[in-house]
Amino acid sequence: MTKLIAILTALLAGTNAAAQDLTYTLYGTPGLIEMPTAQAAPDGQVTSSLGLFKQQQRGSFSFQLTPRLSGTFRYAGIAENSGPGTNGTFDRSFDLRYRFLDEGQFGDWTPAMAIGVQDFMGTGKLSSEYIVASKSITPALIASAGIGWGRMGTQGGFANPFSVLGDHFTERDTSGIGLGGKPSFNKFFTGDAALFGGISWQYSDKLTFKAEYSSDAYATEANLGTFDVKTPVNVGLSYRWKPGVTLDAAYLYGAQFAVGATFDLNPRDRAVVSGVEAAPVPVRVRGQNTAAMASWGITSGTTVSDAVRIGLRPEGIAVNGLTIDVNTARIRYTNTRFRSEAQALGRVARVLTQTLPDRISRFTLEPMQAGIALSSTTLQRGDLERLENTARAASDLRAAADFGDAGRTSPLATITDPDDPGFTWGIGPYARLILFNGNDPVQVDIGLELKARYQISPNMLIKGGIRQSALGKRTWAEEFDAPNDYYDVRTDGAKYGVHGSPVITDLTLSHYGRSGADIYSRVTVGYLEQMYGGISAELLWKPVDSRLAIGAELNYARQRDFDMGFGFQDFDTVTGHLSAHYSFDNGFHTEVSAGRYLAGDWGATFALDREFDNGWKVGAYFTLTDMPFEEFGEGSFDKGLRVTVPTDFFLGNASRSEVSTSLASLTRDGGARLEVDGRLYDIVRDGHVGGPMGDTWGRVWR
Amino acid sequence: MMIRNVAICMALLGGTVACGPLNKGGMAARAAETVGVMTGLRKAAPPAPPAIPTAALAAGPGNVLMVTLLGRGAVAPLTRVGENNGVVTWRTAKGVTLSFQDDILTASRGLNEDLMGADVDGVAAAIRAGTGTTQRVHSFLDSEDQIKARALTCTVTKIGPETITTVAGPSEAIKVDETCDGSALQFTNNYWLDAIGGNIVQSQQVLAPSVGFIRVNPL
Repeated sequence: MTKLIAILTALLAGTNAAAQDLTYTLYGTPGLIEMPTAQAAPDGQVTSSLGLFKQQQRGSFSFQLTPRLSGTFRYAGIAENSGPGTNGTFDRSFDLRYRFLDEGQFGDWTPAMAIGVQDFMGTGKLSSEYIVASKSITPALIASAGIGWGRMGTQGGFANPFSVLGDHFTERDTSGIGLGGKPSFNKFFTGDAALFGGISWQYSDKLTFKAEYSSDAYATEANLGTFDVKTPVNVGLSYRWKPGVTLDAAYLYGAQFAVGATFDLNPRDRAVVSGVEAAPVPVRVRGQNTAAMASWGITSGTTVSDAVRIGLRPEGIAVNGLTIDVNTARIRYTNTRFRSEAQALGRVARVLTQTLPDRISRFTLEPMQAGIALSSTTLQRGDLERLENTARAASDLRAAADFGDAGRTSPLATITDPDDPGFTWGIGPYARLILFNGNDPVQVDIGLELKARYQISPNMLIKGGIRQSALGKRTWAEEFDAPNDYYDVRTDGAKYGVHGSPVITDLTLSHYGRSGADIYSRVTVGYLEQMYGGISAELLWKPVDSRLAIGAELNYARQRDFDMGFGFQDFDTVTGHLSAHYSFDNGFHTEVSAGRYLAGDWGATFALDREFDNGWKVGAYFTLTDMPFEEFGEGSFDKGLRVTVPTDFFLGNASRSEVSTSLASLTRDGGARLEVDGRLYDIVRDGHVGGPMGDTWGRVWR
Repeated sequence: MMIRNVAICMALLGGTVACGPLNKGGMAARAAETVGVMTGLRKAAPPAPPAIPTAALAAGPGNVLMVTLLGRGAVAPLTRVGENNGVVTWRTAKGVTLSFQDDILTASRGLNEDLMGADVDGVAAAIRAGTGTTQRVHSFLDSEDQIKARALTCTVTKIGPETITTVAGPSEAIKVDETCDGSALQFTNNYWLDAIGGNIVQSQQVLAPSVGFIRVNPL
């Protein structure tokens, strides 16, 4: 029996022998100990790792963007930066790698091959380029060999073979990196080259031994007298402790011990595959009684609209309006529980079959968020009865449904829940993690937070938050200070809320509306964010079945007092953008916003995210403005990585909450935008068939 | 009232994680749990098998199914909650439903990995006949919220008489196997038929790859 289940699982998941052997370097990339291999992580894999030894401490975040392309962001501590006994430094770096050949692609003998650039736009302290080949000799033994440049061209280096292409490749530019943060294209594959290689031997399911010949001589560190390479040979082992957790130990260069840990997680592999939220009520076929509702503990209401409202309450769905004319019921509702609006829609439809009289043959369902109706889906009651529990129920229902813009017809009778006070609040702890800021990799602020919200009407909301830090009066780590001619619109951030008194995180009044077909609006007034208060207005054009959206936003912002009370300072500014969002069918999402930023600089932000239909998003962005790089300071221009994780992925229960983290390279004054909560795009597209509702349609019957 | 709630909340904060409706099920309240699951360091404890409620037993024949999740050894009684075109849906007290067309499983809701729907026309007839080839389609929801439909071809074979033990005690039954094969899924379901009436008195049917098989005993 157990064996049979194992076969089932293996068949359905598809096994990947190559991935089982995957080990990581102390740089957090697929490879041996310090040297890369041509292996790649499974598509979509998110990997966090630590690699620690006396001379360097590296924390890395890697993402397998496509089956062939992966990227790594690294934050490294480098000890004794200017010689023995001197202070260390912190350094950010980015890598890209591309596996251009799969093992066996052109016959059994062909190895996998990859090309990569390491630290290609940081300060260049770790910069290297390489081409590497890997081949399985036996199922347990993988051999790799490659050629490296930069750091990886320093041990036994020889004249660059690329020199035949031009003198440019002969010498590597070792001059200062200046402000950093720009891709160092001119250095790529230049200077001496050197060979590296090694083997990994998978001793058991859990244990892998590794040995390598490293082509990194730690030349700079050796010159400074801070690291002594006694041998280019490194040895180590990887221990797969638990699924997703690998521990590493190594002895480096005959000089230092190193330890590492790698945590990997794949957004395409959800532990609780379909979610464990309770089953919906089944479809009631017309002519049958409504006994099923009683099994769900739902008492019937005195009127039809009462019955619908009471029937949907256990699902976390509030009814905003319901109108029945002849044979059609039209309902507006707000889903507060399900990440997928398709799942909420399916539950509403089934409750309607249970509660509406048999003469109603058609349902028009209009999901709302923030008080605006997002779309309309019309279903035939007969299709729900016919398709329930069939193998292709989801796709058949989609084919039979009619999708459109909400509110094409007359307004409908509003329904309010007499038991909903409109006011809600919460007190709890908060923890804010400030990562990779200035000269401190991890800073934590903890304390107590009071949040409250009052829903004046479905589309008007007052909300706010007060925080009291447990740390009292404090200061944050120094940012790199680079005085410029621009106002310190973001570099003043560290001065905010550090006095030890309670702070108002935000306090806003917002209004959402529909200003025409496919057009949505938002106005938010108040204390918008930590540093600014003011007014923010937005318009968005997004047809229901379109993968393109166009938005416009205009804000007047005034700088708040450092104590984050009610007061303001003198600085004020007008900022705004025109944005285009496009969601490709293959899961990639692009965004371009052009306009005026907080410091008065003009420019554009470009973003590319990989969006998984289950709510995960991993992406990168950069902003170029007319603020000169030397005025911007270290990093040259604003850029960063961002990750959004849906909580239902881990908890297994239905939830609309998600956690977003951004790993900005450096927060500075150029390309800075106002942070306003509740921007339209994500709210609106969530309920669109050309958006997450359509992308998660598989959940409609869940 | 509100003030008093806030005061109680403040007093309790030393010991609890969070209060107030906005914090229910919030990330802060469940962060530790999430980290545990995320790193695979901690697994949720399997639920204890429930006792059979006397009310369920008293509901009479045809109204209760005893279902055992063989992978977990969990047993639960299910009560009948609805019927749609020959497909009967049953529900556990904890909110899991299972649907059967002529005793053949066609859907589940509320398990780790649900059977979202199945086309099983002709399967029950072949089982009762003890021979035949049938076509099935089973669909599952994957990690990325897409439906994966798996087509299967199944062969039904009569194994022979076997003594089975149900709540009613030991009884003679005819065992019939149904072996299904598809590009991404293969399994064998077992059915035990009443020697006299030819009804399915017990069955073991696959639900989903990560859930495994269920054993079904009508009461």
